[in-house]
Amino acid sequence: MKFNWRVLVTLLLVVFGIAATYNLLTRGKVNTTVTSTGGLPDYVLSDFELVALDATGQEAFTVRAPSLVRDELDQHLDLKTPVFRIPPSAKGGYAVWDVISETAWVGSDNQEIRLRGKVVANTKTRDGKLLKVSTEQLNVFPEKQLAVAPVLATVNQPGLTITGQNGLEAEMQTQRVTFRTMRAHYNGR
Amino acid sequence: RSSDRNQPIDISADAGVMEQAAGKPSIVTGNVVITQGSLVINSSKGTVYSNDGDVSRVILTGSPVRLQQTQDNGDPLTVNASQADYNLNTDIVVLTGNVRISQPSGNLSAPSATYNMSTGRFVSQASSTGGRVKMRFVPKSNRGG
Repeated sequence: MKFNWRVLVTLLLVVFGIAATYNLLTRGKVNTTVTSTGGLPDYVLSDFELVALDATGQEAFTVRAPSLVRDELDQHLDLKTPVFRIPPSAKGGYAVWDVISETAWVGSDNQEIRLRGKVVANTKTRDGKLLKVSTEQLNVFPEKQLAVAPVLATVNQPGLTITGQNGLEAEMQTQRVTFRTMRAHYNGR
Repeated sequence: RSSDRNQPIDISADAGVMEQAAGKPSIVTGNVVITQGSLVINSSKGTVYSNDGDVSRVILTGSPVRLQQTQDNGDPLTVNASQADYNLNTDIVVLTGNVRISQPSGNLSAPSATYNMSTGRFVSQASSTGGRVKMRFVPKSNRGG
């Protein structure tokens, strides 16, 4: 029986087609669960508490969240409904900041945290009064002890509400806040 | 109005720096507008001192600072000066530099003056360098409607 190479080629093409389709389908499934903007997740954590250290080994911040995805490409972290606690830096200061948001992005070197969606940051002033910052976007730089809101942001203190319609910048230890396009309402008396 | 001093204060400005450190004032700059009841103050800069979270003093500078208010008798009052130093505890505003006060009953210009927000009374001072106090009273019959 003479060997028919056309049959062999056809068989190979069919097998190759099936393999390629299977690969596309399964790969697709894996990606849909990943929310990160990079590649595949390095690892995924659920219901965790993480203490991040800075370059000198000091605590940069602590975060608790139901979910964390670490990106394999640039090692950034994506978190859902995180609860951050940012202590005063080793260089002095007294204020601890508790910050929550819908999502957060943390750079690989823990130098920057980008909080997005219903961001609320709470701290106490030196005389014990609550100081609250609310916004939709807050970029926090733990080591510099700096928080920057590029969009509308509001600071509340007892009897005083101040809004930066074009954002604000807060020095987290001195609690000096600079507002862009400022509106203040004071009814402290 | 004398009731103005019990009203909330609203401040708007191009920029503002809020300080927490004791004794350090907060600064507002650029198109500063402060309203408190019928009182409206326009200036280019404001320095706000607070004590234990309560605003105690506001120093405003501008070219000029303009203060407008409705007096208890309903008459409008307009004051211009280079600086207005408003002490919220005593309700006294110290006005300095080209002070001009105008109201339907007459005008006054002086190098400096003191305005008591709760009584509506002005006390004007001549200056040692020769700045004089000038007043002009408008007879009731000549006052516009």
